[in-house]
Amino acid sequence: MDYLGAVNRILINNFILKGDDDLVNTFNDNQHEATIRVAQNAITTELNNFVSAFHVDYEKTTGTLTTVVGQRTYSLPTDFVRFFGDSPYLYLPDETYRVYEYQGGENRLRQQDYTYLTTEGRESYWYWDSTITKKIALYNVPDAVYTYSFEYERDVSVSNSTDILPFHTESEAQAFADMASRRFKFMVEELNVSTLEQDADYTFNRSTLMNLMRYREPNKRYGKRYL
Amino acid sequence: MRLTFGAGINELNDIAIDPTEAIAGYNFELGLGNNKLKPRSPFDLLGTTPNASQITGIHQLIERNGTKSTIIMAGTSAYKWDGASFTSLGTANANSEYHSFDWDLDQTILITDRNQVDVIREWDGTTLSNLTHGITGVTSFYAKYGIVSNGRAVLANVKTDTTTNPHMIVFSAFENRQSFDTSARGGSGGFSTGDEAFYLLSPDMKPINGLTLFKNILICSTEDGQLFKLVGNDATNYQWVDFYSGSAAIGVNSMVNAGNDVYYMRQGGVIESLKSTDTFGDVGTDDISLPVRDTVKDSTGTRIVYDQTNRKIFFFLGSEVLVLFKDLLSTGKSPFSIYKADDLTLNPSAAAYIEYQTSTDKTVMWGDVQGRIFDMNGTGKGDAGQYAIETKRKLALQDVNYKSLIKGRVFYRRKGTCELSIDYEWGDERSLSGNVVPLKASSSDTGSYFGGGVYFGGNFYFGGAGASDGTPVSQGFSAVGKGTSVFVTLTVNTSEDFAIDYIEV
Repeated sequence: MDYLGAVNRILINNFILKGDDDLVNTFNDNQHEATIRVAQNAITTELNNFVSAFHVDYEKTTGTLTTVVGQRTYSLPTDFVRFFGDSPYLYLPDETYRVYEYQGGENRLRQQDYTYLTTEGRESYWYWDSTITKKIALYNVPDAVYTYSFEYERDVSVSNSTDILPFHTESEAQAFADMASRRFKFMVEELNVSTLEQDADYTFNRSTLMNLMRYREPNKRYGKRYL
Repeated sequence: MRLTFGAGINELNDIAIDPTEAIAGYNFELGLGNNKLKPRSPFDLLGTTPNASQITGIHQLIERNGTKSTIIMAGTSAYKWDGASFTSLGTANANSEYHSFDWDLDQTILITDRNQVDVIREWDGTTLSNLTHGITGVTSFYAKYGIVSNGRAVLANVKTDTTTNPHMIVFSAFENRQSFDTSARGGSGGFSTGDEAFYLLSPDMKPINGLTLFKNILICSTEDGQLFKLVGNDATNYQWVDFYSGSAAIGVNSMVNAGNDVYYMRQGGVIESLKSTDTFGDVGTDDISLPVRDTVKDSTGTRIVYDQTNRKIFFFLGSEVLVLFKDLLSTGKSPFSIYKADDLTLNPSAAAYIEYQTSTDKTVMWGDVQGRIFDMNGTGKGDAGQYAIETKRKLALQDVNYKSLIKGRVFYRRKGTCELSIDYEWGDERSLSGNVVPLKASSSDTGSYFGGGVYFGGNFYFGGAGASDGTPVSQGFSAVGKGTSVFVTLTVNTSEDFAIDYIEV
């Protein structure tokens, strides 16, 4: 299901599209312009909330970083959100070498090695380089060229109507769109959005989505298990 | 909130008017009991005169045996028109403005000229000739107005050769349209039987600019004067007496008999009704044009035609036609709409309520400066079969109380494919926004029924035959923008028919 498909599902669930209404085929649709805008925001709000709290398989991807002699800092991919897993590291494809995060980061490193900004050698650690974009720095500053790989969670936000929702199956995407449908209802009808988490339909769809995303059968017990 | 469209334009203010009225708009139809937003009928192009010149008169003679002949004056020619082809009948004066009235006794029509540049003509179904008038020493006899009353042909604002008598009304001899006398004053001595021809002058000596019947009483209007009525029963005692001294019509065509009433336009474009009191002679006319004061205020006269079939009165105001729906007069709401046709360069130069050539149904036909003849109640697709009709209706200010999102549904009937534009002018934020709502056409599918080759199942289900013509359906919309209040304008520009029942917001 793409972004546009989710918007249509929301509009149908909330009886915006009914009767003679056709499905919306572009976000520039003038007929339902206001409700389309709200539906888009309901989706992005829910998606941001969801991926901030849970790891979604769609997020995991692999990046590369090629060192340059004498260059300390390196930009991460533009869709980089965070490194995948615990104790993230850079690695050579032949798995002969790994570069782990320097514990304590730059704040500690600059106390440990006064020349960390310039000392060249084989890179042993990476650390966050605090600047206006997501960057890491290497310690030591590389003295040779290597191409490292690393696993990270990418940005799975949607913006274009054809962007695919970051879910493996149509069922997952439908359950997610149904969650967003409830948020849409709260927004359009100006309900108290702080009670959204207590909305039965919202929590029902959220648990449905979580159960669908599990790799194993959910626990068998009487009734629903809400996560 | 449900928006309906049962009443017409009310320009008095833009807030405190009936919610079914519009503060502006045009080309929407009204009717008693109708709450829909519907377009006016298309103006069908029925024909164009061979000389493609300005039409100066449309006349029709229907003989007792049903034989029908329609005469079109255009430019310097007069034609007989059978609805398809034109046959020349001779000359006309291009500077004339011809009107006609029936003289059923001899199955003819008499044709007068508002501009008095052409003599009174007569059409008997075969020949278009100058009227034999019988006035001694006069060759050319002109008249602006004509009507039949009490068995006489009555001509008002006359000219004999080069002598103008704008304040004179001449009455033919009883049941003799060819005998007039401009020297025998009515009510004076010298008449033997009382059936003789005679003349009267307007009591205020002012030019006569209107002549009509009201409750079978002859009424005349004088320029910047007043209204008079004719009393008496023959040449010896006919006289004019005051009917209503409060006002008189303006222009030369500003009076019309509309069945149970007479409407006329007076100074300031005010449209008044003579039927405002049951006390005859104590008439206090009502200004029925209050709701459209802005539209008519600059009018210096108008051509008025009554469509009895559809109970509409047309006030031709140059490039637009003000339409009074008589049935709505009793509702207390505005009975006015406006017809426009910019693509046609609407500029009627003649109009008449006559029968179609192929039936006994009547309609209003009007001609324009290009020699085109149009049917006001057409059935084609668009004006002249090709131009879209823009229907517009601006609603009174809607209080929306800063609602963050306005959404609604348009409930309409499946007819033709077109688009409804909903435009918003938001208060406070003073921003503009809009929606375009598609209105779908009826389906050509025929309904499937349970039986024969069609069974309950597979591709066939009850109710699955689609939306036939007139099926009530709905489309949603949602508006971008907010404010304390909003003006909403509805526009449909199409050559298709459509009907919007109401809009739920």
